[in-house]
Amino acid sequence: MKKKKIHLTNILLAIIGVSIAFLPFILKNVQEERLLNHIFVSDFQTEEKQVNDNQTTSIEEKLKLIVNHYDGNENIAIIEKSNDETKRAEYLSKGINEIKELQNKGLFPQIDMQPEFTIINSNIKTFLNTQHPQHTVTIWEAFFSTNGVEINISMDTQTNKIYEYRVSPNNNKPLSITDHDQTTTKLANYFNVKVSEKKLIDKRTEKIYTLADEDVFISFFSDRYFASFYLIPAFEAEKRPF
Amino acid sequence: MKLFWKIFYSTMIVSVSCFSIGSYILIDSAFQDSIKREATSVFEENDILRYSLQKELREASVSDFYFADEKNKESASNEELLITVASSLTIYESGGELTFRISNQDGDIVYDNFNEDLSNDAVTQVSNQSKGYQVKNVNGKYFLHAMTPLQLHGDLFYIENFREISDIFASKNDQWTMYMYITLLMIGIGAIVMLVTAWLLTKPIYKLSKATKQIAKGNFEERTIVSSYVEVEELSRNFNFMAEHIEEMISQLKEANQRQETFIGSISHELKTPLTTMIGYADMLRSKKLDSEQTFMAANYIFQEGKRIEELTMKLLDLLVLKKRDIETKPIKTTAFFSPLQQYMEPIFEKANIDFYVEAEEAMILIEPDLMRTVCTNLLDNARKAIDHDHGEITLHGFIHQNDYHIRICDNGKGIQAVEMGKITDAFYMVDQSRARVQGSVGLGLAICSEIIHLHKAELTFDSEFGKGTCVTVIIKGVKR
Repeated sequence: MKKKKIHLTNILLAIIGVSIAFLPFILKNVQEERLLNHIFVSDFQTEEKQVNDNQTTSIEEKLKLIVNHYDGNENIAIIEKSNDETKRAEYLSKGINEIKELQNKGLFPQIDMQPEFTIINSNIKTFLNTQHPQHTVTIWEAFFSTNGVEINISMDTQTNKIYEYRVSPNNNKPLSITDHDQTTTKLANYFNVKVSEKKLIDKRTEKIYTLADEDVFISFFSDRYFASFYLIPAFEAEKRPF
Repeated sequence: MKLFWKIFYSTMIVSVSCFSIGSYILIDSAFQDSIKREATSVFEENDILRYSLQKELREASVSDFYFADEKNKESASNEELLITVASSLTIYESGGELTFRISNQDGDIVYDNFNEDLSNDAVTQVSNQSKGYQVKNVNGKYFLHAMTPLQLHGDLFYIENFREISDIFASKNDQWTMYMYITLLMIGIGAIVMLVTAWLLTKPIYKLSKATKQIAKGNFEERTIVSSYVEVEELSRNFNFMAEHIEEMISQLKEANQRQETFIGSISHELKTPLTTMIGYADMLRSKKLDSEQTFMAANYIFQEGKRIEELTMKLLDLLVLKKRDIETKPIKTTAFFSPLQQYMEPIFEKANIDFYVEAEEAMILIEPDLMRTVCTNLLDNARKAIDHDHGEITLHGFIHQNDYHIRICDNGKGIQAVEMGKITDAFYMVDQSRARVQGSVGLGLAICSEIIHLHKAELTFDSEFGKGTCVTVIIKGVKR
């Protein structure tokens, strides 16, 4: 009788031991059942999440948003707006007017701006800093051609200023822009910024970066068949290998 | 249940419990952390969606980008405005395109660019002042579904976005599978290790148990030599000590029993001898007609032997009483102690033609005077009995030596042989039995002295040279001058 009792105790203890070892599996399943389909609710302050668009964003801040996004900054989100033919025509019209404005200021006057344009590709992108949602910039990126001339522009839809401009005449008509300083001054005039003496020269590409208003560098480059300019914020220019 | 199994099961259960609880806490906390991290990310994405939609909605209200003409714009409901704006946007963040869904306050989906069939039954549980998330399993895939409210000109909508978290569940399942394998391995290895450990721990106890059984059977020489670990070693040592002590006590008990038997034998013998004489003479008086001289002689024998028996019984009584007695000592001046003793003994020694000298240094001794007098009387009487010539001399010398008081009684009698020195304090032991009987001795004097000395916590020493005499010293502890 006593031996039987001892055997029973042994079996019971062994079962307890094994049950304890596999108890976490039961707990895991219970916990998983409770987690699935259970809604976890917490307070949400709607006001805090409102975007205040009243604040104006400076050129440097706008440029930073664009550059930071292409540098892989996780806080920058892009909103791409699909646009129909009407909208594209509207932005194209604004873009052509701005190119004409550039020509009026003496920049790239050689380009023959014919009234017939073919839009090859265009996008409307809003760059938004999720940490500071009041900082946004909406850019119209377009690639179009006119009379054999191919043009790439990045235009701020709010101010219509062109931040990036590339032109390559396909008709083998040389651009022959030689006076770099004069062109840079004209660009500064267009952007309403003051150029300084500070220049950075990228030895690999021979591009010259000229500091304007301490925050922005203007880069202008041209050869016989190609000309471009763009703006970059000072912090980004100074990071580049020169 | 045996200690072996108790050790085995308790250790196994405790270690398995600790391991399983620890593993559960570790795996679960890692899982919960991952879920919380993903929830934070999904709400961050939701914020991006919110900013984007709000910005575009604001733009839509001031520009005609979304509506071809003003008429359409004015007639569009909030829901239509929201759908138009949402469907015209593609939102990217560092992880790629953000998929999302918009529901109205009734929980009806109004816009959806998320391809999975996920119900939005939880949306209505989220108020316009709260946000929520839930984990869903759809066709074996796990999703984190976040919901936040969006107010648009008084109408409530919900922005819902999703993040697949199947990897987290897969990782958790992998961890549990690993836990299962490790647990099985641990139980296997642990069981072997614990069986060996429990065996090593209980082996010395079994050895001790075996030795105990041997002792219980009467084999008192049985000892254990266990040197496994400190506690058991100590137990083993204590066991051996106990066994030695028991063996010693048993031996002492045997000796005491032997002594008792000898004592009883001696009493019987001491009683039988005078009784035989008395019976013989009484029988002679009864069976024969004797003349007056013979009658006196026979009666005298009977009387003398009767007195001897009386003496014997009195002394035995003294001895028995002394063995069960506690004494009360008091300080006594040595002069006050020795003077009456000298006066009592002098006539006896004069009669025996023995010179008796007493020389005692003055001091205060702590004794029970009557008992100590018995000791001295016995020792002086023994000295008298030891003298078998005409120029007998007995001295009693009391002196202080190293804080003790020594009473030294010396005689120039026949002395004691060295072989007999160890037995003289035994009851009924007589050096010269025939002579002692003639002198009326019963052999209990020194046994009584020894008992009294023991009660005084004093010492009794003998110094004898056969043929020249004996000196007996009583050393009384503690003395005041």
